[in-house]
Amino acid sequence: MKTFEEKWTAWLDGQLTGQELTEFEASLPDKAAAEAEKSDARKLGAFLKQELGAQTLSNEEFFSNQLRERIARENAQPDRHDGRSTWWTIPRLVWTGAASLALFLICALVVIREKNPAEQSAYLTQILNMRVDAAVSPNATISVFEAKEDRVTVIWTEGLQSLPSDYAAK
Amino acid sequence: MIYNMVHNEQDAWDLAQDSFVKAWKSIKRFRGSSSFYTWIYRIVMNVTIDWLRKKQIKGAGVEFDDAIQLKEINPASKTLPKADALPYEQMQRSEIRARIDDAIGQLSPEHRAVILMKETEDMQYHEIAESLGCSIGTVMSRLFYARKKLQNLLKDVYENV
Repeated sequence: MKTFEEKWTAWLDGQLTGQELTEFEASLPDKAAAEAEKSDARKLGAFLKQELGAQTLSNEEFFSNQLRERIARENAQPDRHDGRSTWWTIPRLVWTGAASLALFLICALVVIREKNPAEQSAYLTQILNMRVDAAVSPNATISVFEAKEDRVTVIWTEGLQSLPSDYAAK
Repeated sequence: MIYNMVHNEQDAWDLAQDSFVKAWKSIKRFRGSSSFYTWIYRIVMNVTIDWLRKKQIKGAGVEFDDAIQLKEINPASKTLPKADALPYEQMQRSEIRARIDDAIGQLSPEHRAVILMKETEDMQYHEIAESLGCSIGTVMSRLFYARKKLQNLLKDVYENV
């Protein structure tokens, strides 16, 4: 679907034909004014062609010489990239970056795991070694459930009448 | 064509040289999908329009400074392209030329390119579109507005010539 501007330009340049031309001319509100405008635009075109179109090079030899000299100069200059390392292309930089990141993550995981040894903490040992006074709490039972993977320890006490004085962790 | 775009002979020479060097460097990339003429026009237009945009961004300079530049350049300089002095009889013509340059200077680089290609180079819409890397519809639309503007600005000139 052509816009009005496109149709108008095509009409001015004689590029509208057939049904398109008939439809466009029928759609013009003032055909006489449009024809005057067309004639005016053609005058402008002829005027521009006359004033601007007939320029010739007065010094083509000079231009050719300059151009040849410049091309020869640019040919003589070594390519800026020659002799320098071109190994660091963008895809290689991206891959190297990704590989470095992966290596860093692996190392970080290893270090974190080593910082969490499997042996029991001093606090847990203290709890497991605690004593329950049988005179005060004769039916007391203590159960310990530990999930090392989840780093969770649950201490379940039953029948405890009072806390032993040395129960608190230090 | 470049001169009509930039209105300065020295700049036109430089841009023409830049365009040809660029074309020479990228000749291997020319695959023949368009005509060589259109391909080289595209390079010329890209170089010129880029230059005009950069000049517009800088902004402070006088755009149509041929007269100023000619005063500043030593006429005996070996690097100066030959420029014949305008005779007195051509004063009126130079005034007309100044009006045209001024009017064209009020168009955007893209509009300038389209109207000059169409009116002075007699290029077809599809050739202009290929040279500028845009659609034929865009070319026609730009032509519409460029013509309207130039008609408003130059009507008294071309009516009286």
